[in-house]
Amino acid sequence: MYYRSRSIILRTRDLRESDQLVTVFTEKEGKLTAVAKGVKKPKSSLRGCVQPFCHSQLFFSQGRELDLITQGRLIDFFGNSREDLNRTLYIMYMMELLDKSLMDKAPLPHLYLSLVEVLKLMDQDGFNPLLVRYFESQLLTHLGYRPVLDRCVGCGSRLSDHYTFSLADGGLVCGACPVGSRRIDLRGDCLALLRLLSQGALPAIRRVKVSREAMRQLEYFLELYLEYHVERKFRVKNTIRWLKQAMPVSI
Amino acid sequence: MRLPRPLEDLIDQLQKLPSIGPKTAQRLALYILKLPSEEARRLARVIIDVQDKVFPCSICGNLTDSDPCSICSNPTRSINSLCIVEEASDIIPIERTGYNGRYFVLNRGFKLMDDSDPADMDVQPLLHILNDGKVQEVILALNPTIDGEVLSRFLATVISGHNVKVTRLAYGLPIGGDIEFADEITLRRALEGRKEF
Repeated sequence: MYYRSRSIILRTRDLRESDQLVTVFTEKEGKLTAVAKGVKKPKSSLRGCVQPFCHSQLFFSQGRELDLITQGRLIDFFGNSREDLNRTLYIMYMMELLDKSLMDKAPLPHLYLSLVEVLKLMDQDGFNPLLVRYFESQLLTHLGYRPVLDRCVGCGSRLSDHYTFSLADGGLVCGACPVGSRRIDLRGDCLALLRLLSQGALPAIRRVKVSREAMRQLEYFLELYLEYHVERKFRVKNTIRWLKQAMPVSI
Repeated sequence: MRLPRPLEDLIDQLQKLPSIGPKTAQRLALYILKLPSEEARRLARVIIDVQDKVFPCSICGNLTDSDPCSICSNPTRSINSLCIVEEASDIIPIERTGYNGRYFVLNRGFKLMDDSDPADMDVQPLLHILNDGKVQEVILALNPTIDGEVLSRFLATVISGHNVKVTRLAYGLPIGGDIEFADEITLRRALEGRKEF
């Protein structure tokens, strides 16, 4: 059986002499891994469209164990992002998030569209850390881990000035409810940003000005929250941190 | 059916080789069994020899059976240029181009998404070569992938304090390739590096 779908390439791994195992996030089928034959040869016509974070229309042939990528057409190569190491690394982090958190062949077309939108904006406008945070928030929403930010997750009451965020319960907890050890005290501006991100209002997110402290806490919170619920460590983030220290001028 | 124990052991060992499945391992084991005794012994001997006698060169990391390797000990090769490659197998195609400088083999890949970290990379032997002050140009000949790009930038930063010219291999269209299937970065770089006819 043959099928086709627009896809974003998440990662590639070498297989045999000139083939590659390609993990893609497709619009219609969700995440899947397929074999791309001969893509390591210089004359391969598939090679351009199975590079990490390419947006391609791919044609698949269903196999017994793994599907085969038979043809491909490049939609967008995100060339500007690829020329910039910082953007490339953060996009690879988003690819890792998807690779490690999505189940195979579970379609998430809205998340797919969010990803394409973020990649396009990153390519056009340059690096904006809020776009990465927006994508993390969208991923949490589509995985079913959207944090509860409008009421107490314990008793359902409206929040007063005294609240804390419980990682295990996945939301804000009021002063009267018990909270476990995995808790974070969120700053007011960070909470406002989180609310804006979970509303998914991308035009407003692109315009918003954020203090360095709020951005730092937002990044820390989303990383912790994702790792807690997805139960995976994301390596690219650590590599980015290390590279930023080792070569501060280049990144 | 239960196979004889030595044959089963051979199949188990062959199965550990990359891209060899149980069927192929069984086929290879039966082939080895049918080989004339002398040929089978020679095969066993060369496997032991390659383990015992081949090792990385203490200067450049290239695989060799004598230290320093034939490239490092060749006085006719230029010591002004040093080509950094990921694996010893990358030297073979570069040698075919007529390049006459020295090499430095990292002997270790870097994969952004796998359990590898540029911090674990041992760059001391490379810095030791550069400290001599004879190298004038370092050519980064790593794969044109995202992983290769990150590693190239990292190595360029490491080398930057040594007052040497750091270059990298050019991007371009492969001979016999098709412009229609080329990605935009390759075409962009090919346009930038165009030459007058």
